[in-house]
Amino acid sequence: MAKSYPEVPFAAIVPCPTVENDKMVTGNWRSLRPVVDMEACTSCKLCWLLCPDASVVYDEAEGISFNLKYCKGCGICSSVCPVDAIRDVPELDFID
Amino acid sequence: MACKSYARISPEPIQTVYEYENGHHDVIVLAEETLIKGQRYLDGAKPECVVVVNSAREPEALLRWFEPAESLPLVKALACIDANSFDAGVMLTFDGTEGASDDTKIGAGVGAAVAGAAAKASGCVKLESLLAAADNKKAVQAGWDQVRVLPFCDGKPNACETPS
Repeated sequence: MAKSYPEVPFAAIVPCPTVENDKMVTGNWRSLRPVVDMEACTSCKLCWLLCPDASVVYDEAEGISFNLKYCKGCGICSSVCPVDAIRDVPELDFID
Repeated sequence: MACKSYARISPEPIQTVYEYENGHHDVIVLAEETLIKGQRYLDGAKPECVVVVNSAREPEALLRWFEPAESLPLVKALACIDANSFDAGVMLTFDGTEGASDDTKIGAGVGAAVAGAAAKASGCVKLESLLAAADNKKAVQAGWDQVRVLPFCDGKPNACETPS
């Protein structure tokens, strides 16, 4: 997941992305990972709306999940959640 | 793509005080524990290098992310010190314009405990010398006392044979 400095394209200029821009993977920038409590989540989609990297995924059947390949751990989703359903957990607490 | 900065230690006064970069280093400090996962901190490390991580966890807990495997034989030790708990906070560096002077103190802020820990893990300076130069002596001493060092031999942790 990590790209070392020489591999990132010059001035971060890449062909226009459609679904994702895999020349600029940012998931390894994260120190806190968002975790959603599905019991508390009301599917209001505020987190999906406000994520600056479009890394919150909403599916009608599966609800809210996070695109961990790109999530930078900014914490906006957990701050705006009106029911506090999202917690920020230190990245090193996870095995992967 | 994490932010890197460099420092030097010398027994003689350092004449050139401009900003400094070094591709071959003896001590690597990870100021945030998550950097151990997915960043290329061992690039350019010299053999017998020491990696010091600002973390409350034990070094054994970080082993799963300590990579790349082919660089591990360069490592003498992996050390952890919880520098954030010393209430020192992060300090701004006060480099003069064009790097003409450097007001960053030695052993201040988060760096104080890390300096004590790095000195103990690498053995590159004596504790007395570091305390004489340090700003926050209490944190430096605590870093020295509380660091948890995991020695490596041939790329394996705790594999050093003690002479019988």
